[in-house]
Amino acid sequence: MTEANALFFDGETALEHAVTVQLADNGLAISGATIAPQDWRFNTLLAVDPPHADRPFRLTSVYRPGMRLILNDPVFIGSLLDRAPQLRGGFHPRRSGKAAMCIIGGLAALALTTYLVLQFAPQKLAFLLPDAWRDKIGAQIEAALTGGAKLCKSPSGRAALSAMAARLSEGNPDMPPISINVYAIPIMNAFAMPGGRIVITGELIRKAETPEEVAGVLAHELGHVVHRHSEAQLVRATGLQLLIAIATGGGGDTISSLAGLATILRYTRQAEIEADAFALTGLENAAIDPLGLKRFFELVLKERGKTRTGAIGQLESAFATHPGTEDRIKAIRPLPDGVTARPVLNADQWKGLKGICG
Amino acid sequence: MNEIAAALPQSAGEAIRIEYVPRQGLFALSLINFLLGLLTLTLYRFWAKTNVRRHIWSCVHINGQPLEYTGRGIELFLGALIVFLVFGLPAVILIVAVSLIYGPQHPAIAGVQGLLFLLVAVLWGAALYRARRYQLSRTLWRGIRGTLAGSSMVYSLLYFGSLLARAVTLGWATPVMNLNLQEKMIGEMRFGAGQFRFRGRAGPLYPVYAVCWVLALVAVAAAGLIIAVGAMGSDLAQRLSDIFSEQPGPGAGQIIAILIVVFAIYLLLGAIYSVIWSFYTARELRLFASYTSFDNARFSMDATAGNLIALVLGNLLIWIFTLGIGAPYVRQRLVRYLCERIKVEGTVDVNRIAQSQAPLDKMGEGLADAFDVGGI
Repeated sequence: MTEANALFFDGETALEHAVTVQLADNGLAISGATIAPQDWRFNTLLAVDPPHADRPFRLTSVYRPGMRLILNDPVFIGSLLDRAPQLRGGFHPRRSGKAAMCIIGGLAALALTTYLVLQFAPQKLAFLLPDAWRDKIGAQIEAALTGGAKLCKSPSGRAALSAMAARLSEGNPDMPPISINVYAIPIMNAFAMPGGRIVITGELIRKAETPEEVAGVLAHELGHVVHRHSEAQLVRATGLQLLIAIATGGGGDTISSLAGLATILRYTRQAEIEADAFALTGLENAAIDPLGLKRFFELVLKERGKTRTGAIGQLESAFATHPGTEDRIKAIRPLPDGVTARPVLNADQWKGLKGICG
Repeated sequence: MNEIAAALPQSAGEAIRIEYVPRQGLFALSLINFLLGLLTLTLYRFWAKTNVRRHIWSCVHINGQPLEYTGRGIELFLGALIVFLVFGLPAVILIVAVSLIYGPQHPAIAGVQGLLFLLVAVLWGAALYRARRYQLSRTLWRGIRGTLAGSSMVYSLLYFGSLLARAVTLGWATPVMNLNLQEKMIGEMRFGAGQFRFRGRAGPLYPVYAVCWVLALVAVAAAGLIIAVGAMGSDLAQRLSDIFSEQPGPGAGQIIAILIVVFAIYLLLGAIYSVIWSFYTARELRLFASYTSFDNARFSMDATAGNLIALVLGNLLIWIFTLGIGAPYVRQRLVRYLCERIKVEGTVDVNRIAQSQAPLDKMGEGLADAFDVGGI
């Protein structure tokens, strides 16, 4: 069978042309009373839909994309498919390869973007944030975190804290400017915030038995400040929201808060280990006994059993999500041989610090 | 009278018959689209939408010839990307920058958000119009494509105006404004060089609008009263305040029970509201169809409150029970409803319809994707 009747639309008008199609040596010859004769080579044919026994077979040409040829004759369609097998659709090694490349390329691009936005960029951008912005954000976060809690500011207590900070920067000439505030909050914790702000709770100072414990916590928070961990988390959360906005075309508010918390917590572990390392080096350089930090961690583990509700409970659980406190305790080693620990504060200063909240 | 029709004897036309002829393959398409959507964090949606449209379009037969959807996923993707770059990204950056500079609680953020909201409201009509234009320009029947010949910004301003008018008149401008919008959209719709026409008045819509408006008001007031009485009777208010205070209040079971009650009331109210307004919507669909003509053919539509409710309820159930995987079936039911209910009386001289000379959009539906509108 090398000839069949067919329908033809020329893409110029909606007129239905009755045509005759011939299977020539290298293509289809289409002719009819109402159309200019067409020669469509086999390798230029495109199937609008893959051929199917129940449906007419609709064809077009690469060079005449507006035209449509509609074949109804199953025998003719069979011979055509033998000559132009690409029309069958289905699996094609070359096209499947191209599709696979697209998918792999797309996934690689996605992975790279995710890495850049979540892992690479935040730590870099954290150091590019203008100091004025960091300070403003830090002030707001401090206000939000501490709520209406009382700021503890007895002069002798604040003087003792300054002395402690000065002692910690002894071995550290690159120490950034910091501000340390103590608030009367009834949980044991300390926080580093953007702009070099450190908040210590009155409860932590109350529970501490030696100045070395407070110094260890302070050294740890200084580690967060030096590495700009809180700024990086801010950039990371923003970047994640952007990524979700791109993927979903905006309106990803509900998912983003959940996903944001999950990624921030994942990075917290890494940040904690960096801050611990900084603290241990800093304590060593300043000849402060690191076992104070160890005792603080042990206290945290003991406190973990108790739970509270409300904003305070959230503050507490923020710390409880810091993973692997046991591992971190194990990583704390005593001062090396030959280094003698010197006291951080004298008895008067320690008394002042203990009484900072009045 | 139409130019083409005026130049030719009436007998040259043919009657128009629209049918929906289902094809196999929608189930597989639904599953593949859902899985690839998960794998690509929803980015596949542009290609998914394209595949579903290609399937559904090819099931719509007009006088025996199927429609053909010629749009491509990449066009939708690029359209959305451009809109994101010129609109979404600056908006996000602006909000982030303002909240970084002034802090997360500063009133400037609310101001910026208000401006963005206004911008969205102004552009909403353009999104609808451009999405419709893209879909028409990618729809072929007998080799001829459709288009919208007007300006999307003019439509957008009209749409924004209609929002304002509806708000100011407590809804009473709705029939008139809907008529104006439909007149603009249909009047600018083309199939090839052939024009659709829309002519008619909003007057006949007002009796049914008035009834629905009053019923809706009564329903909302009654629901409000029931909730208030119920809340006082079962000291719900006290329990709610217990939940939000830090004192040990009700257990998780009680909270869930209250949430379920609130959700059920919300759902019931939504259902009553939809049922009431479906009478108006059905009347509007019938009237607007009867105002529409093409060449020597007039349209009519057999829409009733009952069959609209069945359509919407069925689609809702499909959505819920397939967890969204059945979205293509929702679209199919919608198109099928239109195909089965729209009738064309009179004739169209199909053979004389020339191809549209309107340029083709290179990209599609960016705004509509961003705003999550755009119909089918």
